[in-house]
Amino acid sequence: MTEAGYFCSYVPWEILAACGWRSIFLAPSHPPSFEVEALFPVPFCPLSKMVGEAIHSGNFDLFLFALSCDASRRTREIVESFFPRQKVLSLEVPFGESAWRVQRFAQEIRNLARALAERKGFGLPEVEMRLGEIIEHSLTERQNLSALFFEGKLSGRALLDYENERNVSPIKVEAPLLLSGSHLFVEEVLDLLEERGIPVVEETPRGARRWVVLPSRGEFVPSSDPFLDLARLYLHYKLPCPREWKNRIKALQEVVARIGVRGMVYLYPKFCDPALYDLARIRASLRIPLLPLEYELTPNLPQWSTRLDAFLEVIYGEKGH
Amino acid sequence: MKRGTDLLLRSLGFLLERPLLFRALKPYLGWLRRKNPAPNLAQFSYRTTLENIATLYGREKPVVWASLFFPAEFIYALDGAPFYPEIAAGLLAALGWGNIALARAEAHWFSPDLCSYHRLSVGASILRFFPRPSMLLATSSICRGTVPFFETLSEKLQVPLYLVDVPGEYSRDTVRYVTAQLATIAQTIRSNAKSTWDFERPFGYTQKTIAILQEIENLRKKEEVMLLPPTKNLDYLPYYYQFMGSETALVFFEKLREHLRHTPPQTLPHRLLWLHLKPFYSGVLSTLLGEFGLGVAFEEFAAVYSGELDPRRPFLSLAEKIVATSYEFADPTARLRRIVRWLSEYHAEGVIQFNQWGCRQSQGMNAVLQRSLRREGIPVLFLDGDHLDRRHHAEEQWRTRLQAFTEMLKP
Repeated sequence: MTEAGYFCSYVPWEILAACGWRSIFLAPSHPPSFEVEALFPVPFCPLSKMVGEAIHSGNFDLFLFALSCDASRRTREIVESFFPRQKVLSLEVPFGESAWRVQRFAQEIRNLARALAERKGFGLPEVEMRLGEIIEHSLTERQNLSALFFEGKLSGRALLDYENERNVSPIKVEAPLLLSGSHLFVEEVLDLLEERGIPVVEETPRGARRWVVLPSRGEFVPSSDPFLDLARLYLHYKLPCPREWKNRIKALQEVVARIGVRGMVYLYPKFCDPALYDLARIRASLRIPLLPLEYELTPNLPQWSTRLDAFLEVIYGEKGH
Repeated sequence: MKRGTDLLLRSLGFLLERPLLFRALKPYLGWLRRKNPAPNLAQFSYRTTLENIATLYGREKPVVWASLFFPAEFIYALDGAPFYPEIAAGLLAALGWGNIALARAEAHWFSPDLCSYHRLSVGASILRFFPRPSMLLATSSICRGTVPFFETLSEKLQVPLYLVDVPGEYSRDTVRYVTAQLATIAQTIRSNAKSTWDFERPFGYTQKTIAILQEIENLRKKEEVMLLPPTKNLDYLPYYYQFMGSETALVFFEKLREHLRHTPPQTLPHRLLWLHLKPFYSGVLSTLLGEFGLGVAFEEFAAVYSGELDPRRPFLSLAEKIVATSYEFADPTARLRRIVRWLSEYHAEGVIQFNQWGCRQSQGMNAVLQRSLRREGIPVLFLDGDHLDRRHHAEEQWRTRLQAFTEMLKP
């Protein structure tokens, strides 16, 4: 089966499945080579640089960019320009709250489906037929996972490997920390917390942000248009990423209240604009203890350990954990 | 921050929110007009600055903040007073107040790695240095960082934000999409504020201003004409954006045209294109350019949309303007095409871009742009720094790099 890589939680994997592609959600772990790093400016998203390296050294039949931020847009251009053998498609993700936004995204998804299906030699009607069933299955899956998530039973890395394993082992955690932030080095921070016996629930684009839907959004009732359904699901129902300004804080408040979160560790890449704004806003709006951990191309584990210990002392009291 | 400084800043913020203080400028402005009915470029610029301060801080009209690429004609049609925080941020930095506002934003957890135009504006808003708006208008065009920036402003200032989503592609479909958004925003504003719209006047001013700008461009294409000191034209940015669609821009550019026509020929040995903006907090770079004989023949930010604005179809016209501008600034192929054309038209030898530390959209294009320009045999220089945050000031590094660049140019 041909493989399509992607790294943004706005890319609906359902559309790839319906078009006969195996989707590979990329969580790169190798810093870029000198050759690749030189294509990016210094003050630029480290994830983009690592994605550039993964594409350069990888073997994707296709790579799919969601044009959701400046870094993603420019990374696509760099890949197209300097790695011309890599086939690329993109999906524009609209901003704001306009009434047309969902319609627009649905149109984008439809265009993407057409391009993906063409590469497989079939047409849009066939995609539509398969898509309805895939969405139905995906919704059931997401709703089951979300119920467990909001009961505080999907702790640690439960959702990080869900794409491959399609299986979770629910374990109830009490008063956990919430690990929020970006793609990279999530496991490293989870290791640090687990070493210290701290219960943790993650809310990252690698895990919960891809699978969890918000109970407060009510029941998702599918329409007759599967592309519109996908647009609604990704823009309105899934756990919002920092780009979703209006819904983001409300959603985090919902997570904090329902799970009984004690504090937040915010892991973010230097030079990621959405994350930098998100951090300032969380600090101002979400009244829980907050520890920001910044990274560039490698994790700074000794510094993170020291800061984490100080933070945990504040939350749980000295030696309380 | 020391208590005394904090008290001073609070007092200043308080005073800036007293409209009567600024309305008191009116008699002085009337006297200025009578004293000098035909001002020159500098006198006109001075008077305009004061009039603008009186209008914005005196709250004579609803103050509407907009992102740089949101067309001011929309605001003039509403009889509002446009205010562009990104432009005002440059002015504040030039006045030496930039670091105070930047520090205030950083104290509120806005990272020093964010764009300093945005960070400084957030800091200045928290300090209440900027005139209080009745609404915010923004587009997602060119710079996607504008969206969280304006969303932050909306939240801090507790005023509504009307955001226009602008896709990257230039097509009939995207123009239609933007048109629909503009029409809806206009309808919402009309029903909320009981406003009436008059697009005829601002569109008329813009069309006349564009005609003057084309004359200015034709003058600047002559090898014996150059605006000095280098990058000076970027100080006129408000006239290209904030005042576009008003009599102010028209009169200003008429005066600039006359200035270019009648100033004795004065040039530097090398003619260059200037991409993006420049450090506004200091004139050092301009001096360095002069020292190395590097003159600016044309600036990317002086390229104004010249399509027709039709008052019978205002939202379609403005949507065309927004989408076309976005495409030409932010799409690498379109941007390169314009640069190559300008190089030929303005007899320019090479290209300089002054990188803005927190600007992902422009810097992210550097590798693609550099390779394409070098393939065409065009010398290109990217200088690193920050337009407003003097902590990135690197005079000696700029000197070394400008020297090396000059050596690449033909003697």
